[in-house]
Amino acid sequence: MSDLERSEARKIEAVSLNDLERIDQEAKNFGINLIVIGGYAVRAYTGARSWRFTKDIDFITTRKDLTALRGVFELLKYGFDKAEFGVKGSKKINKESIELHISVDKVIDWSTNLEYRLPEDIFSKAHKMSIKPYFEENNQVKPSVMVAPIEDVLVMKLMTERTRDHFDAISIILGSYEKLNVKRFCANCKYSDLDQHITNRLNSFLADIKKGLIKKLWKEFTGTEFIREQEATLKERINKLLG
Amino acid sequence: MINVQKEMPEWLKKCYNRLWLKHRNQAFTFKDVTKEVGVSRAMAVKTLWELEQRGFVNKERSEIDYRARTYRLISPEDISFVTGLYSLVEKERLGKQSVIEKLVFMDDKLPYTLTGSHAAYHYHLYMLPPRVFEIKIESKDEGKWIAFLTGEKTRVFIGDVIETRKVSDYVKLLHSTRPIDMIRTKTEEGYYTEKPEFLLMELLERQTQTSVTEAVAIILQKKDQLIWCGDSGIIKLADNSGFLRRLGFLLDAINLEAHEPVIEARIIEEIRKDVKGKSDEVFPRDEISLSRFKELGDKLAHQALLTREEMEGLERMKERFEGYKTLSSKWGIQAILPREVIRKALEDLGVRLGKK
Repeated sequence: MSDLERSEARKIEAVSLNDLERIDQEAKNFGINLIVIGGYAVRAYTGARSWRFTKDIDFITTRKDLTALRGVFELLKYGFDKAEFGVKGSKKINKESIELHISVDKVIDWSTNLEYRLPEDIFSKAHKMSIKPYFEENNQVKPSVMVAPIEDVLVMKLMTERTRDHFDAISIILGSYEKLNVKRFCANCKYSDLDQHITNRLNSFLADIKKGLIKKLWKEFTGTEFIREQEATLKERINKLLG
Repeated sequence: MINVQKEMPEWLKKCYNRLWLKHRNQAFTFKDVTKEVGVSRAMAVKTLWELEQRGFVNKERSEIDYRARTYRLISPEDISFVTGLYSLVEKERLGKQSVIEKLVFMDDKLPYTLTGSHAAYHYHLYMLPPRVFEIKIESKDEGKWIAFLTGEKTRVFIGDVIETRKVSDYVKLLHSTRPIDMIRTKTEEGYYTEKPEFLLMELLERQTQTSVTEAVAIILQKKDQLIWCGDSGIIKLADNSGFLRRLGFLLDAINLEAHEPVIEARIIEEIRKDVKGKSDEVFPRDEISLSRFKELGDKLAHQALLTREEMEGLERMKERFEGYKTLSSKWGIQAILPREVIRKALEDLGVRLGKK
């Protein structure tokens, strides 16, 4: 791979961040419920140390908004196709492409086959957040877009069996706990019948802290050590979530 | 050209010389500084801080209590070497250079190669690398590298990397077990990165879910350019490292998930020739996967305590880890790799969609 392609990666990030902002604006103009979840939402709630994402963008919307959304995608020159999880959009940029994954009414996790049903207030509780670029060269591109509430992003990360999602969940708990409404978090878990599953997951995190596995997980994804202070904070916050 | 960043004021030189006379490159503590240099606590803090900013001391923190630190001085010879190098850089650019720019500037002055996730990203452009650059160097050059790379935005570590708030990039120095010239290639940007064939061995050795994903992504993105045969080819390297089974398994798993021969059958057959019988190898052998898998086994062993629903849930999770039973038996290993790890990389890189 040539470094022209490496700089291509920076360009792709710039295009995807600009498109993200444009999609957000057009969704607002057309009154479409569309909010960011997945890696870009984690970016909004965490510091740069924990970003190990791909360039693809994940959204959620409602079935009634799909037709209007198709128009927005076409406007921005994204293909629009049906997928297992909802719909997806795709745009080619030279040899690479940006993929948009849009879940409709619910988010299905492949690793567990569990579903997260979107709570009624998810779109009204979403807020504008700045998405920080990964590449320093893109620092001037900092789109402000509607991001799913932290409680929902956290449940979606905790419900899967993927270690990468568990790492994201830990990063969110450490990075933005003060933004989290514990009551809403618990209510959302219950609404999707995930309360027992999430309780088990949080308890397994506590056990993993004891076994030193969270330390390993942290090192695997950030390359840095998980220090005692972080460990104590994480433990305390998980216990609060378990209530 | 005067180097403002690496140049030491007279008072600091004096402190450095006293410490060097006493400790050379042996470890010392903060207390040693106050005692041996004969300065106040505040002055000792300033001394160590100034040395650290210049990369003239290597700080190590205790894993148990990260506030506990020991220090080792960089030798005067290494400092002179780096001060000389820095005098070649334009003054206004000092401290602003990124790690990559510094590596480009280093060129052939010291042997090195970028490895790990940053090197992997160079080939797969898939999963963003973390903020830690891993660089393989010759052990004798360690001091020079610490002094050279440390800057306003960068901290350098030999052992564990501990985050500090004020810098954005971290460098972890690793000692290469192979001649560096053999394992590296120059990029068009002008820095050296590990050749994909050697990097794949590194990733197969780490065998975490992340390193497996990165290995799969490199194989998918570079499959037509990778050298499979010959002395520096992937097959021979994997054989020498004892990784043939896991390599063969991974390539077969890629083809299985892709529903098409993404990897040529002749390559897999070539690997298969050298693999005989069974082994007790578990793949991937990362502690997280192993622990999760063992936990499931332990829970399932106490069936009397489980409801039917719980049993089914645990069985499903165990099946998730053992999704490649046929391939496991073909390659004589116990694979505990969830299928979605490879599937997701394939899907994201467009293989299952027939794009590549």
